[in-house]
Formats: sequence, structure tokens, C-alpha cells
Amino acid sequence: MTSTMAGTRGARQRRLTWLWRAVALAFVVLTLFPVYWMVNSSFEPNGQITSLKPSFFPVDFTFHNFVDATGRPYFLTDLRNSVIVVVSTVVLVLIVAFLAATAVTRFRLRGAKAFLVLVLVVQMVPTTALVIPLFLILDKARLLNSFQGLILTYVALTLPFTIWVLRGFVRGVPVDLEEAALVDGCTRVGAFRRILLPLVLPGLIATGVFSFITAWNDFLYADVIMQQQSHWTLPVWLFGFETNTLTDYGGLMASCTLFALPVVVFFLIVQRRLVSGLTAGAVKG
Amino acid sequence: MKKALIALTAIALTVMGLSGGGIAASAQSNHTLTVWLMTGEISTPVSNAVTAAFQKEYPGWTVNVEIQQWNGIATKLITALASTSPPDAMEIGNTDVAEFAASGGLENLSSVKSSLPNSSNWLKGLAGPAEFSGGLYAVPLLAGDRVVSYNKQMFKQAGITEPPNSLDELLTDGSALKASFSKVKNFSPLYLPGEYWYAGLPLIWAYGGQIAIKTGGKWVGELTSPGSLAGLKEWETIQNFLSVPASRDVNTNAPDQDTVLADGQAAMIVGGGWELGAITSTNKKLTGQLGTFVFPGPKAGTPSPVFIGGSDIGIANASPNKAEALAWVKLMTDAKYQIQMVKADGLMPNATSLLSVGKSLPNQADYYKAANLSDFTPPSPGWATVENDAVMETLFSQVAEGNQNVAVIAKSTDSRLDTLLNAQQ
Amino acid sequence: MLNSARGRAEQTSSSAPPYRRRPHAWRRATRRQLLPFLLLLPALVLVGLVLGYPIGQVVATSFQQLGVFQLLSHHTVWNGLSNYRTLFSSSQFLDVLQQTLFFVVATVGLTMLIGTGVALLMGRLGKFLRTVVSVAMLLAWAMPNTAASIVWTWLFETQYGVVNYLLVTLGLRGFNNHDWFASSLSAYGVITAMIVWQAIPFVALTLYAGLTMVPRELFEAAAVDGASPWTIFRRISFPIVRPIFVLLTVLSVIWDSNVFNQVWFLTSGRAEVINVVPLGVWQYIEAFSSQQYGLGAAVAVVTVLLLLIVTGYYIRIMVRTGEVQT
Repeated sequence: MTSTMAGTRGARQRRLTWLWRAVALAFVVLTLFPVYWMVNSSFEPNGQITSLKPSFFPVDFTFHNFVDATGRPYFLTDLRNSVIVVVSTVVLVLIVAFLAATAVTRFRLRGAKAFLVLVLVVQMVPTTALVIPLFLILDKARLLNSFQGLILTYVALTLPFTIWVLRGFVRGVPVDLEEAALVDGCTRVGAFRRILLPLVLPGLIATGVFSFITAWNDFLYADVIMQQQSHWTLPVWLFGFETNTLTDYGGLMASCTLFALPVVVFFLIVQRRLVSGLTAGAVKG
Repeated sequence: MKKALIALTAIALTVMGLSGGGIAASAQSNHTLTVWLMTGEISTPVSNAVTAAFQKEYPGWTVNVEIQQWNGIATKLITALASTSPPDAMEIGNTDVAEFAASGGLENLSSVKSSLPNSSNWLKGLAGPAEFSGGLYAVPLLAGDRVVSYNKQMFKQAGITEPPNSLDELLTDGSALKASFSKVKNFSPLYLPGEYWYAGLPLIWAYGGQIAIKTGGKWVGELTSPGSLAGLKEWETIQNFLSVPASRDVNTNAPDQDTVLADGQAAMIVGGGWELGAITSTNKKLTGQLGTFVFPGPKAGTPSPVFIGGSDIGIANASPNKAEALAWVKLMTDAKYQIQMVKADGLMPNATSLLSVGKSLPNQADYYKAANLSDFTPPSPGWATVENDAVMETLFSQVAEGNQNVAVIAKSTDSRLDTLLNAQQ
Repeated sequence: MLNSARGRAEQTSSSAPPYRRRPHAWRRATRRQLLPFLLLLPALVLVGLVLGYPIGQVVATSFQQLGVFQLLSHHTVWNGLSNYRTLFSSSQFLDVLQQTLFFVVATVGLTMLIGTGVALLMGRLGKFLRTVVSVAMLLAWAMPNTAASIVWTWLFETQYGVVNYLLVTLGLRGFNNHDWFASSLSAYGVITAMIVWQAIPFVALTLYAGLTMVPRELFEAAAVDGASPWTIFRRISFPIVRPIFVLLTVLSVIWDSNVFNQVWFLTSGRAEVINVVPLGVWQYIEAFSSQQYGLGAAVAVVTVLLLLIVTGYYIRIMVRTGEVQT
């Protein structure tokens, strides 16, 4: 009896597996369609992009848009600025948020709850309302037009949700593991670093990617805080393709394609760690 | 992993500490002039020439010309003027200037107006918004306008020998084109997006109407006046007859109107000189096949007044280099460099006395011809809000769609204008 | 077997060692508070210093008349509750609230539903396909806002858009020159699709990361017991990821309530005409388009209060040590 049951269950499993694969593929196609359109346009000349008949494949394939885009003034400089600002932001946010998450989770810290609620309230304030006051305080602190000013801004704006999400992940790790380390003579902080940190790596990656993308894509604050073209980040530079009169769609799409690449590279490197070390691949695969 | 993390942290902190991002340019004068110009207009060779001339007057001075993006420029300018170290001079779009003139952030130049080049015949569309309460807060910088671009071959095929001289002729030509190109799907004799208020305003003005008039210190919407209503009704007629129905609630970008003309879906569009290049690069066969004519008016031989767009340049009140900034501005608006700008960048100059340069630019002749009869939007500080709220786009597209009576639409827009144009800044 | 999952979650909530009475207990208590306080300090300083003043300013400004003139001439003009009165007496206010409510329910609902689905799906895929799905989502997420907005506008363009083109090719002639932005409902549909499209990745990836923390033994035991995938999800996986799920929902509500850029861009400024005015758009029309920062600040304050009212219950639950009650 068990063998026939196993047999039918095996067949059902196989059918399900194919179903999941089909669903996954459909999802991928739908999700990627706008991205594919962007990449497709970056290889087409301007006339074909805005052409009245949609072209699904670059008939007049050209690299001209990429050459043009990368040749524009300040491309490399602003790319460098983006990398500096965003990498610094992500590193700082993850460290500070991880420390804060452990502080409010692993201890009975007075005021922890108030801190958490306050931080979430901060997240509720529409960012458009904060631009001018933030600008004025940075001006007073003489941090305008500087990397420090922009990094501090991005860190402050992405800390709230990062702390909350990491808190969730820290709570998901059983204390026994750290307490075992304490028994073995480890310090509290050492236990955090050696035991807890690796286990919440998936959470760090998810929030790291989010902070990365948020800072990488921001225009509003970068535009207002940076006063010189040589200090711009890439999103500000991107708008050079839209003048008052015309928009160079080809150049814009090519730049945006290039712009999205570092995020993908970063993700591909870290995505293997998205799976928790806690259960070493509990979920199938 | 741990080592990588430590390394990354160290790098991040070092970068933060040493980063050459540096502190904002000091508000103390250190012989550096900062000028903000908008992207896509005055090119670097031209501004460099002006700077070189400036440096002859002020040796030892550096001039930093920073190019700004249009997106979010109002916020950028406002925050810059509110900071402790604003740029010394800044280019401001002529429809935004009034707001800044009233703000107190720009220097009042009325005492030196007579010494500014060509100040007696500046284009009204540029000078008007720069004036506020008897003061002058910015200097006209550059201009642009729009005329009709048409496909010469299509006109020939339809048997049209001359560009239309009046609105009635325009409609007749439209019929001929429709008949000639009846096989082309979604063909528009004149592709005229419903939200394209730059093309719609001339009709209001042509019939003697106006957007708003200042009476007794208060702005009053004038769209319900007989002239304005006649102009709006004409807009509905022309738009509906000459352009496909799907174009009634879009602007020139969706689809891109240059592509519509380039792909043969239309015989005419209303556009600026800068669009000709885009059209011919999309469709190489149209090189040399594009003609222009000024948008006609109801009376034969008299065109509709054109809308002058462009920019002014203002000097920040909080700048420590006001005298030097003024000197740079004087040079930039001097006839010599204005002409250089015209020839190099395809822009139009800031004064009627300089319009004669158009004679040396044959394919731009009609743009200059049109500039002789122009009008402009109400120079009220609240006009910026009217644009931000897309009030004009809504007005013209609603009239084109025709779901409501023109008078009703005009009346509701008027009350909107009454509120916005008189709003306390 | 199924209870131990809950047990484990409860265990993590009592994380600090038990407090013992000793002489000079207060000094021990303070010292005991020192380490966590130091750990929290950087976050406190960063958020407090950088955002404390601006947020305080926003509240103060909401009681002022602050336009470009006052800003540039450094004049402070107090006008009491005038800004709030203007907002609440606006005939649009209730409609805006209603629109925002429906919009947020739709976007957050779809995001969480599909996001959870994708997270579960990822667990059932082979390594290669799983990477493909995550990279696809990442690309959608990382696509620069400028490009995303422009491409979505192109896709749904009335006359020559790809979506209409595809639909007509499939035989649905009615979509020839179909104006997706002619009516409020249709416009909201497109906007919701775009927001959800870019919001799913974070939810899916974070939930997937959380799901990987579920112990394998639980799954194996449940499988031996013959539990269906749905039961496994409902009684094992979901209780464990519920705290993160609730958090993501609250965060999504907060983010989607304030959406402006995409709405404004997709409707090409016609938002008011077709009556697509969620909170973010209303804030722009009432305040920022006319550079009335006092009004804008008042809207911000009202927004925060509204969000607190809506999410307050769940915040309280999340903050209390202990998991979310069923």
C-alpha cells in the first residue's frame, strides 16, 4: 500500500513541480516586461523608440545611445559619487541598525518601546515635507554640497524601517545559541558578532538591498543638497536627458540600464546569503 | 566575511571623514562667481566667451557656471536662495520669474536698468514677469517661440501651393489634406494635442481675449470675455477638425508629436525650431522637406500673436558678489554675446532690436517673424502655481473634448485663476 | 509538533536574563542598561540629530503661514490653526481620504498577497529558477524611477501604446486607442499595477528570507503526518513569519499612503481632472504646487496622525514583547 501511495504522491509532486515552474516563468515574464522594454529601447535609435508601431526587438540595433550617454560630461564623476554615497550609506545603516535591533530585542532596555514607536512615526512623515527643513539644518551645519551631508540624510531616512525589519529577524533567532556562547566564556557583544550576526544575514541582505536601492534612486534630496555638477549623484545627472524642449529617450534608457547594473551585480554577489544559516536550507533547494 | 565587513566599515568612515565633498562654497567673497544656467540652452563655448570677457574686467576672478536640471528647479532655486551661500546669478524660466521677483530673494535692479543693454526694447514676454511693484528683479536672457512646421511633399500632393494665410484657409487646406490622405490610418492634417496650451493661447489673443487682467491691484480671470470665448471656440473647431480624436487629452509627448509628423501620420505640427532636427533625424527622407509658416489668425494676413517662452537671469540678494554678477549679466545680455548665443545655440535674443539677426538665418525666418507679434502670460507671482497645477492644460483639453459647454469651462477656470493669481505669496 | 513552532517564538520574547536582587541593585540596573544604551546610541543620534530638528520644524511650520516670501525674508508669521482649518474645510478632503483608503487597501493587499505567494513559490523552486525569479524581481525593483515611469507611460499610451497594441492583436478590437486614463477607476488600476509591481520584490525577498528560518524538522514531520502544503503554511510557516508579515504590511501602508511621483507622472498632471487624488497628490495640489509650506506641513501632520490611527493597533501589538495575537 505504501508503495502505491508513494507512487501517486510522486506523480502528483512532479505535476506540482511543473506547475510551480510554469507559474514562476509567467511571473518572471510579467515582472521583467517593463525592464525588457527599457533595455530594448536603449539599443534603438531615438526615432524607433518613439515610433508609432511598437518594436519588440531593436531592428536598427545601435550602441550609439550608450556611447552618447557615457560620453556626456560628469558621467563617471557622478557615477563615482553615487557609489561612494550609497555604499557608505548602506554600510552605516546596517551596522547602526543591527546594533539598535539587538539593543531593543536582547535586553530589557527602558525606553526601547518608545524609541521603536518614535522611529516608526518618523517613517510616516512624507519626505516632501522634510526637504526644506532638512536643507536648512544642513546649511547651518555647513554640510551642504557635501557627501557627508547626503550620506547622513540617507542614513537617517532609511534607518527606521531597517531597524524594524532587523528587529524582526533578531527575534527569530533563539537566544539559546548566544547563551551557549556566553557559557563558553564569550562576551555579550562577542556573542552578537559571532553567533547572531551570521544568522540574521538574510535580514541584513534584504534591508541592505532596500537601503541601497532607496539611496541609489533618490533624486529629491541629492538635487537639493548638491550644488555642483561635480557633486551630483547619478539620478540628478540622468535628468540632463530631459531639457525644457526635448527628451533624448535613447540616451535616457541607456543610462538607466547602466544605472541599474551595479545593483544587480551587488545582489548577485550577496543573494546566496539570503538563505538563513540557522537552518542551512530548511526550505527545499 | 567578518574581515570584509570591517574593511568596508573602515572605508566608509574614512570616506566620510576625508571626502573631498567638502563644505559649501563660503559666503565670503573669494573672487569666485557662481552662475546657474539651465540645461540644453546656452552652451559652454558661449558662456566661456562671456566669462573670458568678464575676466578682462575683473582679473583674478573665477567663474563657475553650473548647469541645472529642469526637473524640480523651482525647489532647487528656492532652497538655494534660502541658504547662507546662494549662487550669485541664476537663470529662471520666464513663467517662473514673477514668483521669484515677488519673493524678495532677488536683487532689485531698477536703479541700473538704463545701463543694461537694450533695456528699452526687451521682449515684453521676458521683461514683464521680471517686474514687480515697480522694481526690476531679473534681466531678460533668451527667448523661443513656436510656428507651424509642415511636410512640403504632403502639401504638394494635396494641391496646396501656399501656406494658409488665415484660419479659414487653414481649415480648407485641412480638408484637402484629409481627402488626399484618406487611406492613412489615424491621419491628422494638423496634429494638435488638446493639452498644448502654447498653441492654444495664440487663438485667445488673436480674437482679442486674454487670460487675466489686473484691475485695481487684483487679477481677474478674463476667459469668459467675448474675445476669449471666441478664441476658445475656434480652438475647439480647429483641434477637432484637424487632429485625431485620441489627441484631445494628451500633450506633445504621448505620443511624441515630432514622431507623428516624421512617420507621416500628420502633415503639420506646431513646434519650435529645435524640433526640426528631431524630425529629420527620425525620418531622413524629410531632410529639406520641412517648411514653416506662422500660425495664422482670423484675419487674412495677420497671424495669431505667438507665445514667447524663454528665460531671465536674476541676481541673488544675499550674494556677496552682486556687482560682479551684474557685470557678467551685462556681458551675457550684450548684443555681441546675444548674437553669438543665437548662432551657436539656436536660441532667440532678448530684445526686439536684435531680432534682425533672424535675417541671416533663413530657415529660422518664420520664428523671428512670429516674434514681432507676441503676448505673454499674466506676470503674477501666482502664475507658477497655475502651471504646477496644469490649469491651462486642463482648460484647453476640456474645450477640445467638448463634454461641457465652453462658457462653463471658461467660467470655472476663471474662478481658479482668480484664486491662484491673487494668492498671498 | 506544530505547537513547538509557537513555543520557540514565545521563547525568544523573553530574551534578557532574570533580574536578581542584590545590594546596590540600582547601580547594577544602571550598568545593565549601559550596554544596550550604547548599542542604541548611534541610531538615536543619527535619527534624532538629523531628523529631529526637521520634524520639529514641520510641526511648528504647520501653525505658520510660510510661503516663498516668508522663507526668503526670514519672516515668521504665525497663523494658529488656520492651515488646519483650510484643510478640513476643503470640499475635497473626505473624498481624498476615501480614495486613499481604497487605493492603499488595493495596493497593500495585492502586494502582500502576491508577495507572500512568490515567497512560498521560491521555496519550491530549484536553485536556478529561484535565482532567476529573485533577479527578475530585483531588476523591477532597481529600475530607476525615471525610466520606470516613462516606460509605463509608453506601455499604456492611448494611440500607440504596447498594451493596446497587444490587446488588439489578440482580437480585443475595443482596445484600439483605448484611453487608460480616461476614468478614475481605470487610471487607478494602472497606477496600482505599477506600484505593486515595484513593491512586491521587497516583500517577497524579505518573507522568503524569513521563511528560511523555519526549522526543517518541522516541515519533515508535517510531511510525514500527511499535512497538505496549505496546512503546513497555515500552521507552521505563517505563525513564524507573522511578525515580519505584519511589519511589512504596516510599512507598506505607510509607504503607499504617501505615493505622489508615479501618480502625477502617469496622469501627466491631469490627476485632478479625472479625480485621481490620493493623499500625496492632494498634498501637492493644496500646498507644494503653490509653495505654501505651512499648509504642506499641516498635511504632513494630518497624514502622520491618520496613519497612527490606522496602524496604531498593530504597532502596539508589535512593540509589546510577545507575538501578534490571532
